[in-house]
Amino acid sequence: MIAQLKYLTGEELRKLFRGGKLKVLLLLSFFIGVLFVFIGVRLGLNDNLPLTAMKLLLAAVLPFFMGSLGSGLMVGECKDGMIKHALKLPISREFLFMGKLLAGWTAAALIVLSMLVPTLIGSLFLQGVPAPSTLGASLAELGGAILFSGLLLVLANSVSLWVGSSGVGLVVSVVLWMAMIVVGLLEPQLNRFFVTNFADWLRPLLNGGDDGTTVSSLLFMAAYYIIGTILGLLAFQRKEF
Amino acid sequence: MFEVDDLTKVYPGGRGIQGLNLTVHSGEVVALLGPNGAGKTTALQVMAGWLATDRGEARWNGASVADRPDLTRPHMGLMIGEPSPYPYCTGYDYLKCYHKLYPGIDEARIRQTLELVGMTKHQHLKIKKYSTGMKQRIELASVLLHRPKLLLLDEPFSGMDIEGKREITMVLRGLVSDSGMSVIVSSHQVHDIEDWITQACIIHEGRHVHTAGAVKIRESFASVEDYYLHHIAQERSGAE
Repeated sequence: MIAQLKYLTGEELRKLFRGGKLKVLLLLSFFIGVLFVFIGVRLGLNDNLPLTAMKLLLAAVLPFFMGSLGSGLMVGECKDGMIKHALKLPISREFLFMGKLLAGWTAAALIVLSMLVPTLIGSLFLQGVPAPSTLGASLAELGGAILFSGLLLVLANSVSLWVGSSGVGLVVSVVLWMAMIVVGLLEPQLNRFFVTNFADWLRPLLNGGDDGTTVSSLLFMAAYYIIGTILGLLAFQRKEF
Repeated sequence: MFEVDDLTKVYPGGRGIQGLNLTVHSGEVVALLGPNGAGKTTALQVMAGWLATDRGEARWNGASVADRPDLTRPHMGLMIGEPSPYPYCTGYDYLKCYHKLYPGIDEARIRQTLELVGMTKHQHLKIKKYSTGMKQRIELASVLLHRPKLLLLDEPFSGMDIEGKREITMVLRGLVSDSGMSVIVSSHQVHDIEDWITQACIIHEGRHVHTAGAVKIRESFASVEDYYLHHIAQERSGAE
């Protein structure tokens, strides 16, 4: 079963690469990462370039990339009938959904890596080899960024499956995300319930030793992952082709 | 053996298929005949387990197609609706995609299947450059790749030229006679499948009208087309 899921995920990922959108997003991410290094140097961000890059890109760029990738992950194939090839397979629809979602999640991780690795390398050149604790913190933040971006992808996929269109799904996802930012700014105590704030979820643990905040954020993130996956699966099961 | 028992799927608005019963044995070719919008594609989609039924079920050797895709799909080849192969990959890559989920598919099988449907020459061309007939052929290749025991085909010859129709009919006939494969094929062009079928099932406005064996049809009618036209005319006059 695990081997079958791994194979299915690999095939779906290969399909995503062939589609072109993922290639464009990866290239764009890489160039944004490189550009950030040059801009960061000019702005004097040499001290903590990877962390600053992560914070800014997670707040401003990656959500749109994840929205774009997530909203077209399944609903596009459903709409143009290409999903029929996968529906012929000797696997259940739930299994197919999980394979596609894992492939999307892996693609999201690759986008985050292609955007943030240049900043890590850039900081190595600018500052030399950092202390192990700084490097560890950067890598932990990178892991957090991947989890956060993956969550946005899962939610965007679920929204687009329910609305039945990748374009409308992207718009609805972005509007929801912006609404959460606005509500979070007006009512800061609600901020911890929103996916917009998870970009910071590791920082309290890494910098202040406040593991309670991190754990509660982690629980919210897990809850969002579960809800997003279940809602997406329900919409995928209800689809008629 | 493939059994369809009281299969019913009605869409909001009333269209769909109601109370379809069918039994298909090894080596049989059943034609689902009916005018446009009669419910043939819906019937095939429900048989394939792609659509949830309102009532009844389809079974392959006793296992429900909808509930046990792991047991039933390895034996089924499904070509339903417009062929929509991935446009950005080549015909060869399309056949290779997911191939490990079926047992016994290797490079040799892929090449053999491409040859079977006459696509060897175009296998490395991107599918977006294919004509409708070529897309139909590559879709058929993907369906035949795992050598199914039952084929569900929906208008398999649409978009194909006369030569292509004849070629593909010969291939399918060969598979039926050599391997005992069963076929359920829908068409509104009766003459395309006239001399190939062993049983005909007429559907009209979502209702199962009549089923008869090819031998019996030829005893009473000059052709399957006449049999079809006779029953459809009866249905229409009954409705008036």
